[in-house]
Amino acid sequence: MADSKQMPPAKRTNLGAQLKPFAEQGELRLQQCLSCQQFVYPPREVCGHCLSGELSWEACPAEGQVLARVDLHNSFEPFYAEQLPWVLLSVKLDAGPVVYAHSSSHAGLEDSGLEVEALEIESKANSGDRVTLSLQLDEAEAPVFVAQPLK
Amino acid sequence: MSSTFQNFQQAKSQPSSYQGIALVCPVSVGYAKQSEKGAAYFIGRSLGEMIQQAGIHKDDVDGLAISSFSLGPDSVISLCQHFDISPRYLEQLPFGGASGVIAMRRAARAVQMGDADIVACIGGDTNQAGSFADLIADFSTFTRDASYPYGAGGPNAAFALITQHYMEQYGATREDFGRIAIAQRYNANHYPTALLGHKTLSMDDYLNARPIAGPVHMFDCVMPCAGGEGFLMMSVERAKFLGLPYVTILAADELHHAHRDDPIQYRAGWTLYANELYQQTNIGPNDIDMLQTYDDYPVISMMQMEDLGFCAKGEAKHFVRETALTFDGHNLGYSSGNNCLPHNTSGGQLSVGQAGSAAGFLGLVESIRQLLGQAEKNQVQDARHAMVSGYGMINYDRGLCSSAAILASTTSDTVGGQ
Repeated sequence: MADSKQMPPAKRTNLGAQLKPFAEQGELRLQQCLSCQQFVYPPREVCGHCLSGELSWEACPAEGQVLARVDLHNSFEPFYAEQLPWVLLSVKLDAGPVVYAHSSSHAGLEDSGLEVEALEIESKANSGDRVTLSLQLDEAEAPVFVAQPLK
Repeated sequence: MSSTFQNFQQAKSQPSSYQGIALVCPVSVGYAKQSEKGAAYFIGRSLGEMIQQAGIHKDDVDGLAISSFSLGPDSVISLCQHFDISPRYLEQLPFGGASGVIAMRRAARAVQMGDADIVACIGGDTNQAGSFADLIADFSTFTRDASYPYGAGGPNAAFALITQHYMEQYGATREDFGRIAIAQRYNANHYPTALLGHKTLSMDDYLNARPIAGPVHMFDCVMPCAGGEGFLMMSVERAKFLGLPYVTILAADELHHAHRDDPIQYRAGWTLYANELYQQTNIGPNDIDMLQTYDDYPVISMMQMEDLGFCAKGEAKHFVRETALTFDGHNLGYSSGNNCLPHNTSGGQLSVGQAGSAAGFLGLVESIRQLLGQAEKNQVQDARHAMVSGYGMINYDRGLCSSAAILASTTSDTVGGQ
């Protein structure tokens, strides 16, 4: 178990922090361009497709595919260093963006509430697997994405 | 959009010739794993060594092109007061591992256009306890929001994902990456400046190293360190007047955030200008006598071997199995066949250490040294052409910058008196 004083890094940009209320509600939202309708991520000031400045946090389809999955054996933050190996997933959302996500197999992160198979260590998502993404608060009350294998 | 504009777009212009430009006085200064000194020490001492080699006064240097990750809160203008110089051309290049070639390209234009006569191009960094962790914790707004919170693995994590994907896509193995790392260590064993040059590296050492992230293990990772790398840029006429042996630029280019729709990186901007580099120089990959890739991780060196035309995409695994990558052609028992391509001849940042804006100048300075015949125990014999490439800036999930240049020795020119 992690030392209760150690917390994951909570620092976010002003834009990144805007995900927090949606994480509290368990709603998956990403910035969507009001002009070209594209979803964009990481959080940004203007649309990466059409440069419109009108971006709005909108509900985003949660499904995607794992591009790659690795186990981290080294971390620059004590919170993670105490829980190695830590699973890191890169997920290509069907809606477009590529998102880094925690694995739902980690303690302290909850499943999305969707119907999913029972998770064991061996069932962590691998590349090519279909996953569903959720937005949650981590132990530092900061917004994070969590990926869970689809049944 | 008017058809006139479309026609104009199709006629994409190409870089003008770098004719008349000389690269002189390569220096590598002050390498140390850690240092209490500031970045200005390593940049300033690089400048000091260069002007001493050139036999000129610091006031003869009227241009300064600087790259550093550890210079803050100072910048290139702060250095003017620190060094008490009055340049008329200043450039600071925050492009990490692509900085050296980019500095070279811009300084060459400044000299060609008369904006400066002698430009000092320098990458220098210090390395103090905890400074690397501070750098990666807040590297960019995208890393702060979208990568660092996910395990805080830093660049190792992003490259672990890239490496994992590359291995699954193309069948490269850890042994293939090991061939690159081991050949570079052999080169470093012949280059006294290399911080890891006193240690040998075997395949067993490589394979049994401590795991860092996914397929990335200890000897796939570079060691941030203190040090400086630099060279002087001037006209060929001036180099001849000063009696300085020089290297020329046959072709060079850069392209950033290319292939941006690739969901995960397996190539970079080189693919879109490598052919032009060869066309402009009338030589091909087989005429390249040494290749200096940007080796922050071996998988990135493999991408450069592919994207710069030394082998087809996905075939670097075969290339490294069949090609001796050492400076002297020794295959170390890890490659078959008679092919040889000296690669990262000083040991690269994997074995030398990563200083000077993520070692963005390391391969360039080494190429100049080699083509001048000024390398010592690691000298490549009869080297005429070097390809040096840069890559850098992991803003989120991939390296954004790419740069590359083909340099040529002028030994025959000098002998012929032209």
